[in-house]
Amino acid sequence: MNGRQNHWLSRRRAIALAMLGLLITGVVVMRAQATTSITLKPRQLAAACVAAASTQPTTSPAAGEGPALGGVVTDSSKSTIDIGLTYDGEQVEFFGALGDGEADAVIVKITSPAEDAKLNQKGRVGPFWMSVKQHTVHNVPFMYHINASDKIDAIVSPDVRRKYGIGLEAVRAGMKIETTKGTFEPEDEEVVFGGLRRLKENQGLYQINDDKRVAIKQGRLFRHTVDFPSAAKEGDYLVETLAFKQGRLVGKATDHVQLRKVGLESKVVHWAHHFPKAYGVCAVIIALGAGLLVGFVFKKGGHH
Amino acid sequence: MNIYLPIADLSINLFLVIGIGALVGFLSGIFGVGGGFLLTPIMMMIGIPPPVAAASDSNQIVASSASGAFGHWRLGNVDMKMGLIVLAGGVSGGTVGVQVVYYLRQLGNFEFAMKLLYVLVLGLVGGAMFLESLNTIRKSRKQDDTGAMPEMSEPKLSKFFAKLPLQMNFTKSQIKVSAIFPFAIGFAVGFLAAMLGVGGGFIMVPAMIYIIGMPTITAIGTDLFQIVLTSANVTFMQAMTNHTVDVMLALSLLIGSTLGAQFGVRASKLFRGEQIRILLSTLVLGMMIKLLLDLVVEPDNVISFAKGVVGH
Repeated sequence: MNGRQNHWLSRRRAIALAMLGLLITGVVVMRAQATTSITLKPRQLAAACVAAASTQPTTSPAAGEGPALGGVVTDSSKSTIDIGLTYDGEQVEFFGALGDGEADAVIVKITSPAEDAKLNQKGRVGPFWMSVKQHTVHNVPFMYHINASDKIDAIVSPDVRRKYGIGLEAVRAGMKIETTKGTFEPEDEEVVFGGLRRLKENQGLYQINDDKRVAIKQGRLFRHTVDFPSAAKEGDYLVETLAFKQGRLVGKATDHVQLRKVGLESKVVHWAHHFPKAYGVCAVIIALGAGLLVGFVFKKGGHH
Repeated sequence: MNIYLPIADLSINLFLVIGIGALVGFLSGIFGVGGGFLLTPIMMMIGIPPPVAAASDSNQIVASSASGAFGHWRLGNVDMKMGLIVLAGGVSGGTVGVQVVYYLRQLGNFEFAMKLLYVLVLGLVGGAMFLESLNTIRKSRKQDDTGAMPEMSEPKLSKFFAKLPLQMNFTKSQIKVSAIFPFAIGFAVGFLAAMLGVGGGFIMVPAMIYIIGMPTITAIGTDLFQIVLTSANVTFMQAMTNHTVDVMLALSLLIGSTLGAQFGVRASKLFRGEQIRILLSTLVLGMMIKLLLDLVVEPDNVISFAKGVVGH
């Protein structure tokens, strides 16, 4: 402490602390506004599903948005997820009814639109490991999850998996590598696909949950949880529910989950990319202001 | 409590970020150094992408040096003439550095170049400091604490700069030196600021004191003056060219480092000067070894996402 200051709470410090308090209150209020979410009680939803299934499944407004086939009806606890200040991934409960009860297995595929992934490949250069090649992999789904009622190999044949894009092998079959720097060698294919898959799995973006993740009740109702990991980004996610009977597709329903950036976060990114000059100037001014304020509060702090 | 950092594009525990800020603030309080060269590597260790770590650290440095610079300026510890020449170098170096960052990111080797540069800088600074403080400790043991000043040999570099053209008088510092010196050192520090997210005080201050013989307090004041403006320029340029400045990250770090520095300053009184220096140099060398290992040990996954490549 300074020593010359008689009391720790001098007038100047009190003012500065009040300013800091206002700042914190502002952040808290912002946070509260940023995280508004739709919550439906699971039980109500399940009830709605049963009702829908027993009356007129295909025309029910509670059904999934997409075309439903074979009387499969689905709904979820959320159709939008807000990426706000405290976003750390989110779980969405899905419920559904299988209609006539013929289906014996359910595979749910959660995907986001395919995109290009730009990758660096490291190699040994002298004693060091550094990037030696760059690849663009086309047709990479940003996220790919499978939730299934049983092992997917046990539910469907390889042909069917390929046809409906089920499993990571099927996803990989759709990808194409374009080497933009360095020369492509045959063994790179395994390295690139394997490496990309591990990156995606580490982020929780690629998941195969076929350990009875989808629970089927009395052959008619089912439920499962979709994990949107914290790495899931803004966009439209497609949830396709496929019902199989002895390996044959008998029902299908489609839902959408929208992830969107809300509050200050969405604006920050927008500003950073669209108004970089203004963003840069603001970053400097905010830092100067905050630094001087902090220096003012802690007279002797503000060490460089 | 997790917060989502929009530019770094990852969700991270807020207290972890503040804690890291506090840790580095504490160390910088103890050692009386900026701590930028500690903060960027630690940020990378917790998963912040290297370009975002460096750029946001520059932003944080603007904040954490602002009040110190203001204080020194008010007390008249800034040699303006010297400061402006250093600044001219710092702004040029920073601007060039940010462009180099851009091209290295295109090539996918920014992280590699940055870590290599860190290894060199930390190795030199840490090594020199370690040897110097070891010598001091040995001498003080022999002389039984007679408080002898460490010997200062006439550096060869200062003779070299005395021969260069553009000799100028710096009345505030009471020295005469070629303007090329402050410009060159400013340029080097500005370049490092862009590449590494450091303030550069650990190079600038010793250079000013030992090579050209500026008074210590003026060297510190002038250094802080250039740090704020050089880092401000680097922050702006990084935001313009690389979009890697995360203000939220910078402010969270600032909160931590301010609090940490309070305790660090007090803790520093528990140690003697050379003890502190030997601690710091051990820390710096440890950090260097960690980064060196990152470069030579086979990575877990040779494939990584290429961020910042045009069209992404």
